[in-house]
Amino acid sequence: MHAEEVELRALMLAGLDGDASAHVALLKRLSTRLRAYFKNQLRRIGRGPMEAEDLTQETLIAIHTRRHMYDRTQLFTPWVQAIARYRLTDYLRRTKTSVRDMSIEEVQDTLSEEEPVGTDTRLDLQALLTRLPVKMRRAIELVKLRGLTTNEAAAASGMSPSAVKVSVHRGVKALAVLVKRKGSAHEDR
Amino acid sequence: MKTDELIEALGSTVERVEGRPFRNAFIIALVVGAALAVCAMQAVLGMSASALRESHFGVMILTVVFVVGVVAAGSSYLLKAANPGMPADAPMTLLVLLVVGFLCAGAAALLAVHPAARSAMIFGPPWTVCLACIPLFAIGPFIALVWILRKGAPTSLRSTGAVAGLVAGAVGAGACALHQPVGSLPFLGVWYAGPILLCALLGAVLGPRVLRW
Repeated sequence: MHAEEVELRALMLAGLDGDASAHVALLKRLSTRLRAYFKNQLRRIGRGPMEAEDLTQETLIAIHTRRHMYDRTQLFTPWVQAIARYRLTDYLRRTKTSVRDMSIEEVQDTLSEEEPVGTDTRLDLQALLTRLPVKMRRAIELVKLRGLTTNEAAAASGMSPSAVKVSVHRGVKALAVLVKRKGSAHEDR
Repeated sequence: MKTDELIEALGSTVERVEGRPFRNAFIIALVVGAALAVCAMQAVLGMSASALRESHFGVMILTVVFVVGVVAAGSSYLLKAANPGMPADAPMTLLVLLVVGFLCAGAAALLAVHPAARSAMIFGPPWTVCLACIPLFAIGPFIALVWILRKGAPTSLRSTGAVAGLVAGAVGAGACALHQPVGSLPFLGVWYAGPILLCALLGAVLGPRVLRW
């Protein structure tokens, strides 16, 4: 850390004196450190490595355009750290709502968050189903909701396979009518 | 753009940095801001010779001390705050002491006189002028300070904005004092310090938005 501070500061001072190659060497060394820092910080809040690269570039630009601010009598590492921290908080504030690259875990989280919506529609369907005749309801529940085959459904319900088929067919038609009626009732309201 | 390409591109525009360019630019911005405040005062109120004649000499000195003190301590803070990783506790403490000290002095002067005279001390001269004009005159210096601070690298935008507002308010108060005689210390404590603190509050509110870089 101390050796690094001495080296980085020497490069910075040389760059301030107009040495372009020292400045490039400085930015290259800083980019490695900054990338590691941002990846680490972003991982903690579940954001991806693409953003770390953007932030690294933004911070390098900030260091370059504010190099006249650096006080040669001060330590260099805290100066860079303060800029990196500022760029990070500014970036997070800017991108609060947008999600740029999601990890798989996050996608799954998002999907599971949407589950309550699915539950609602299911409850709706359940309410409609209660308005169907028992035979139709039972056939639809077994075939369409639980995903059984016609033969399995027949075995489970004690109906003949052809009766199951007919019940499902009629039941779906009846449901469609119910849904339509419900929809127009909504519009009337 | 790849990061390495970016670095090469940045490396092609390396210039020698000499002296303390930011400090010089800051002083220029402050002077421009003060000039704007005086111009605004001249346009709105007009300078009056009576301001200097009628002002109580001791109170006038105190006004100058307060304005110059806040501007000096505030500038010292802002120069540090605009530079990342630089501790700015000392000028901030000085600034708080200055403002609190002034408010206390005003309160003490108020308590020292007979209760019947208190209202006259506070509401004597047209105080609404100070209340309205100090924030108005502070707009110019505030814009100048924000402009220069954005060229720096402030990292705590709220406190930087608050102090920028405070300094701008003090400059505005200085301009206001050129028009209107400052009657008494409590008057100074209430109708000068109050609007100046209001400017600081506005600066704190605006800071995070206008100072982003």
